Parts: sequence; C-alpha cells; structure tokens
Amino acid sequence: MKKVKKFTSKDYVAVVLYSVLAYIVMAAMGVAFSFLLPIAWPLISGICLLPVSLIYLLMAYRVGKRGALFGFSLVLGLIYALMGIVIILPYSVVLGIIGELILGGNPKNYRNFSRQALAYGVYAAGLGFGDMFTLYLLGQQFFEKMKYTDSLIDKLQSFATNPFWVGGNLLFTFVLGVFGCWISEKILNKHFRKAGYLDDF
Amino acid sequence: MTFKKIDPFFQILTFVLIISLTFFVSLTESFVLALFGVAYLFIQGAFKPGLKYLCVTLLTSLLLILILRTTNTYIGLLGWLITILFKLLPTMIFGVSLGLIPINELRSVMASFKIPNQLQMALIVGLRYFAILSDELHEIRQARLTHGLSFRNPIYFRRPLLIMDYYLVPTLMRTTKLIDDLSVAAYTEG
Repeated sequence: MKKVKKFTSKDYVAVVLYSVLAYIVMAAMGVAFSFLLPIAWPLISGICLLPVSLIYLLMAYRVGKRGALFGFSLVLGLIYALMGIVIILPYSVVLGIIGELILGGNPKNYRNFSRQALAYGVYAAGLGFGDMFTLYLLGQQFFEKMKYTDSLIDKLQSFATNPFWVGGNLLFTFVLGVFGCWISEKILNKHFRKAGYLDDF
Repeated sequence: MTFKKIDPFFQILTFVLIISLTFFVSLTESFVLALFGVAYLFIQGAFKPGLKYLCVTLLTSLLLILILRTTNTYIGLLGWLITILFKLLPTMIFGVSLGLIPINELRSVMASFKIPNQLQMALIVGLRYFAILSDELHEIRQARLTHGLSFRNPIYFRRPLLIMDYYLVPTLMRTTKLIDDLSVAAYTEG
C-alpha cells in the first residue's frame, strides 16, 4: 500500500485531541506541584512535561509524518494564548519548527525512538523555559495581571535572573523529557503494541 | 432534551468573536463574557450546563476576591490558577454552546467558511473533547475503584510512575479509540 505523506483527517484529529489531552495533563500536574513555585520554580516544568512524553510519543508514532510536533506545539500555543499568554503562541511556533528540524524530514525519523526523544527533549526544554521567557519579555506587570503576589513575583524574578537556575531549568527539563520518552517507550510496548494500537505503524 | 435552535452560522461567528476578545479582555470583562455565555446557554434551553457554569463563574470570582485579600504566599499561589480558569471560562462556555449543534450542521457551516475538509472534524472534536473526556474519566475512575486503585492507595507514593500506568494509559487508550472511530466517521461521512 502506498504510504500517504500528507496529513489526513485522522492525523488532524489525532494531533488536536492528543494536544488537548497533553494540556490537561500539564495543567493538572501544574496544579499538583504549584506548591513548589516559591521553592523551585524552574523544576516544575520538567515534572509537568514528564507524563506528557507518553502522549507525545504515542501521537508521534501514530501520525508518523512531518508536522506532527509542529501541530502539537501550535495547539498548545493556541491554548496558552487563550489563557492570556499570547506571546507563547509565536514562541510555540518557533519551538515546533526547531523540533521538526531535529526530526530532519526523513520519514524514518518520525518513528525512530532516539530522534523523537531528542526532539521532545529539546521541545520540552524550550516550552519549560517559556515562563522565564514571558518574564523577560513582559516583565513584572504580566505576573501582576495574573494575580501573583508581590513576594512570589520577587522570588520568580530571582530565579529568572540566576544563571544557575536558568541553566538548571533547561537541563532538568531536557533530561526529564528524554527520561520520560524512555519510560513511555516501555509503556507503549507493554500496553499499546500488545493491544494492537501501534501495529499498522 | 430539546434545545432552542440558534442559527449555527451565528453561533460560530459568536464563538470566533468571543475567542478573539479573550486575548484582550481584563478579568472583569472576562467575568462579563462568562455571564453572557451562561445567559446564551439559558436562551438555548441548556439549563443544566448553564447552571453548572454559573456556579463555576460565581465561585471562582468569589475565590479570586478572597485570594486578592490574602498576604500568604501559598494561598496567593491559587491566584494565577483562578485567573487562568477565569480567562478560559468564556471559551469553555461558548464551546459547550457549540456542542449543542448537530455535527452535520456544524460541518456544513464550516464548509461555507471554506475550512478544509480534513480540518473540520479535528476542530469539531477538539471543541467537544473536554465534555467527552469528563465522561471518559468518570468511567475510568469507576473501573479503577473496582480494582481497589483509589488515589489514596499507598502504592502511588512508593512508585509514583504507576500513576502513568493507571491514570494516563486508560485515558490514552480511550482517546485513541475515539480518534479511530472518528476517522472512520470522517471517511464514510457517517
């Protein structure tokens, strides 16, 4: 059977639904770990993006075409824009393009675990850095608008201006993103391949 | 239950307008939009979701007022959560309103907007997914409880990664099945 390289209706539905689910999981994790905000803000993004790797990897394997990571990033960016963080939309577009460049355009790479883990790791590190990026770009006023308390904004600013925490944020999120993909690969083999959800792919 | 019919074309235009406004409005204006959405649901005869979202809107605004008065950092953390919920509320409410329109009518209106065929189903399902997911999560929760895997089970504290196995995997399985069913529906126009 001839492989279709263009997105089909099924691929569009898959990208949208998995992205919405990824957002819900990220939001739930964000709420659960929000107590860490004043203590270790830069580490939260990595923790939130760890379970999302399972959703991403399943989507990437099932779609297996150029544009899946870009679509995933675009939908998440749109949801963040709706939440009032409009700057994350163009930022997500850039992240999606970087992720697609890492995947390289070769059809084999889209179902290759190492490439996908690397692309997701870089994407996750970029997305995790998004909060700090917002703080650099929009300043304190944005966080005041989001009803953060003054003492919390001060703490967040001290994290965002400390090179140790900035580097730690990028590294920790990247490592957890790749680690999440490694666990997810095992879970996908254990459940989804056995159930036949990844047979045709 | 039957709902009063508002022209789907008008409904979609309203939805697009509300989404566009969401980018620019303040919290007070977001509150007004949410109330407008609730009224919109009541006009359509969707009293149950209307009442639900009215309670959510009032409760979150009350919480926000209380949080703004606190000086405690940890209680203050809830401020951004409530703010985000507040920002998303109008979109969610108008999304529910769009969900009342039959799929075939929505698709025909989208076709008149020249939205590509492949994208139509993705947009429709994406908008309805929150409602579908809450039903799915309820069923998954029931199934988990019958296996004695409530969230209070100490096993999650010993092996937190099991949460992915017991919570995320069933949700993903159901979502994947939904995608497969919907793609068949899209291909067969059924």
